[in-house]
Amino acid sequence: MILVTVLIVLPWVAALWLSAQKQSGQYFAMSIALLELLLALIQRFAPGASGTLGHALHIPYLGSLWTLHAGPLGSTLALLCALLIPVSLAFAWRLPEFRALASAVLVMSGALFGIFFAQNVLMFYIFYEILALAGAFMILRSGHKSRAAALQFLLYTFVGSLLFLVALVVVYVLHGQQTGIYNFSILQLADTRITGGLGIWLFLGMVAGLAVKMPLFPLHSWAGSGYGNAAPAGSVFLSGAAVTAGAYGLIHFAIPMLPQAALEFAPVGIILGAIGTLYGAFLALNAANLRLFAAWASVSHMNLVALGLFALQTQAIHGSVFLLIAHGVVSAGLFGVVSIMESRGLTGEWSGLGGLFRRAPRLGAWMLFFFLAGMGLPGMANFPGEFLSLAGAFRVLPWAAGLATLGILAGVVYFLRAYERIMLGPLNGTLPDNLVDLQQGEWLLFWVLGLLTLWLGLDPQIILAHLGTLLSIHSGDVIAGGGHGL
Amino acid sequence: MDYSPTLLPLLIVGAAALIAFLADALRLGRLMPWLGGISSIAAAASIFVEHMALGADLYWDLSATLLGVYLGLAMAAGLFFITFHPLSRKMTGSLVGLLLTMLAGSLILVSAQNLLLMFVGLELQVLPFFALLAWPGSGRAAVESAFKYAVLAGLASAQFAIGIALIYLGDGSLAVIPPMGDMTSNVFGLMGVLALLAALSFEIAAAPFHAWVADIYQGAPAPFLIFLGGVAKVAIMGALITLAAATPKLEIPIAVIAATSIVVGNVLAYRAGHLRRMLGYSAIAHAGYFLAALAVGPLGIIAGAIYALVYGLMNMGTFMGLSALPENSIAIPWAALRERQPVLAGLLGLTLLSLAGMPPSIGFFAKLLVIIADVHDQAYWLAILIALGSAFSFAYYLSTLWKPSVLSNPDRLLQRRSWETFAALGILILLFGWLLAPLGMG
Repeated sequence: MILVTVLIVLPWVAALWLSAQKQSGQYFAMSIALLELLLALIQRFAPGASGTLGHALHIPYLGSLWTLHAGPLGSTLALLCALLIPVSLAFAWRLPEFRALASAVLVMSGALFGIFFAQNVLMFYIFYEILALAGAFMILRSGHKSRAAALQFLLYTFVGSLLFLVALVVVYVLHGQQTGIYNFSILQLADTRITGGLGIWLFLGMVAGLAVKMPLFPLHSWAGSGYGNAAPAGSVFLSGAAVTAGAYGLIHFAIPMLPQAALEFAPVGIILGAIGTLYGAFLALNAANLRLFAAWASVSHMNLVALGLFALQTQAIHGSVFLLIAHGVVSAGLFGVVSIMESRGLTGEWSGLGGLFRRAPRLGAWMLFFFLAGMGLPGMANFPGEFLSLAGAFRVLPWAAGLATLGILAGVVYFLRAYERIMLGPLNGTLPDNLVDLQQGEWLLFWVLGLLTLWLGLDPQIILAHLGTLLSIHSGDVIAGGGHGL
Repeated sequence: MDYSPTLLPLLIVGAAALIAFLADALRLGRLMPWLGGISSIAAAASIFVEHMALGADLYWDLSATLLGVYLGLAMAAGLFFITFHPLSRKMTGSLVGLLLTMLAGSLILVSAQNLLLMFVGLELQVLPFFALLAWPGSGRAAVESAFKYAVLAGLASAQFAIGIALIYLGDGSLAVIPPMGDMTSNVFGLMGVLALLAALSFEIAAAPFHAWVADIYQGAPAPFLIFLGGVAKVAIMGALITLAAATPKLEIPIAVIAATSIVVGNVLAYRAGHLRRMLGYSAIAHAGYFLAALAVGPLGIIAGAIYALVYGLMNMGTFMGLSALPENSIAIPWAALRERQPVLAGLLGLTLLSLAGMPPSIGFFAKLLVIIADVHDQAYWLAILIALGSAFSFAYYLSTLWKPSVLSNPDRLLQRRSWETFAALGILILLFGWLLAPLGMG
């Protein structure tokens, strides 16, 4: 209880302190980030630190607003998030807007820890909103400092999440009317009986709130402007860690609350995911610059995650959770490469790139590594996830899964094409003469991410072995007794 | 007339008002804000002690007690706050006297169970604002806004009087809860109640009775808007609560007004482009959220009372923050404000977020309660409308937070060390006020 509370509150206190300072405070932020990583490691691997951890802040009719519960899925995603804080800060190290970016990342990470350990759905919602606000703040204050992009991100996420809130309140009121217990705890709400047509509407409301963060296909268009305008170092965190909140909310809250509706929605979800995978790949193929390329590649992968989730089939869900984690690491690597290139004064427009490998071979090698990982090369992190989610989805809705597979194939094309444009070919005349290759610290960062990618790819069992218990009991029932007859 | 304990708060406030009016002549004006503040606190305490007491036409029921205690404390806080504002230098005694008169009217409004008494309360509350909005030293725009307010408030009062007359014509009773049936039991009564609703909707600026609000918010001096938004409007909301609780038939017209207000308020606020006008237009949307609670029966009455309370608190915070800025600022110069009054800047930022409904501020919990009430009564469309309106409102509230604005002369910002204490208290209330909820419900 205390450990997790510290995990959640500490980054917020640090962000508050940081924003009151005059200097930019790199070392302070980094030490907080490493401390968080340590705490998350202890939380994940210490014995006895799972199950319901405690209650506080009891409000009549709303339940205890500070109810912490540590499940394997939440703890693992928290570990991923804790890992990406120092990575993202390190990529942002020399940016002039480091302080604003670090505050935003710290606030977001506190909110994410809150999301991953919340038992009370209202508590989850509160952290989810804070996450969105901090994300908008980061888009506003870093990179291109685009107000329009921040506003678009904010409106997408807030309209979605308020619809989620309305759907949640309907479930809460129904549960109260059925049992007389008015409480927002998921353990209570998962027992609500919801009949027929209403359920599907409620599930749509919840999907609107949660899938917009993933981002699922028709709700994805904030991603281009958001990732495209924030500093790439911030996008590392935004695309790697923040998007997991939506998927976690679906697995841990929406599906257990409305299992029947989830089954009815499943085909639609799979189709949307498949379209999104293909469409994301198409957008990445035609992306105007490197940032957008990385953004759409991430969107394409996240839609594959959604496809696996909505298949509601054991194999597919395992695959999609694995891909969620793998995507976090690989996407951090991709945006890291973008960040390094921008720190060298390269704009990321295709016209200004080409033949870079001759100038910066180490960067070129690492870029190739992460591009290969993004393509889903066997032996690297994405492959087991992609394979399992598609294999599972094939058993539910073969043609949609086939469509998504085309998206994966397109992935090979767009990654290789982008690599060719950036690294190969004749040396672009507009490149600066004294281009610095990777330096000591940057190299170390890529080694960490690279080894993690390889480890996840070569030994997927470290995650998959725990997945039997990863999903909460309620959603486990849904999947095991799934209506697909599998 | 026999002494009735329910009258005690009014007697305290009234006596203090009389003393304050006399004080200018005796050159004791500077002391009066403190006297006024203490007597407001005393009134709040006596309301708290007398709660659920049924007196002659005054009834401190649950919502009236809640709002009455709030009004007393809010008035005290406001009085202590404006002591440090230059606008209160001239004729301090009269200023305090007018404000206390307004408080007396507000207390009558929230607790009256008699239409005529309610009218007296309304007048007591509206008339002081004619003078306050144009207080000496506040500029030409303030005179204009006071004049507009006077004309339109006079119209609303007339409509209220007509409503009372029609209701009396219908059933010969002036009680809000007549001996037999309710006020809408015949056609005159129905017309009369609708007239009352229109008049009160005008006072809280619900659409389509909202035309005045932006001009007033733009022109009036910020320190008095603390009282207009944080006290007067809450009292009107209290009267609406009494009315809605007594007449179930009002639910449909209230729902219609609520929906119109939410839509109109949000659209106008988004297009305003001027800080004060934006706040004025968003007040329309807030009136809509409040009325959306009243449209749905008993649970909605509770939700409405809490929304009124929270809305009052948020308004106090906003206009306390704006009091430090020059009157004609169209955006908030954050850099300068953070430099000179860091805590007050924090309060202002927090109230803007709270107005938008950002969790975990109390603004969010108030909206949540309204949504729960609406869903409970199966008014799903209202709940969705509130959600969409609230999401949309982030667009304009946040753009005031991040719009870059530079003050040409930073010395025009007022700098008051003592305001920082108010601001710290306000931040605590806005962020953690919901922790007090168990006390109220326990």
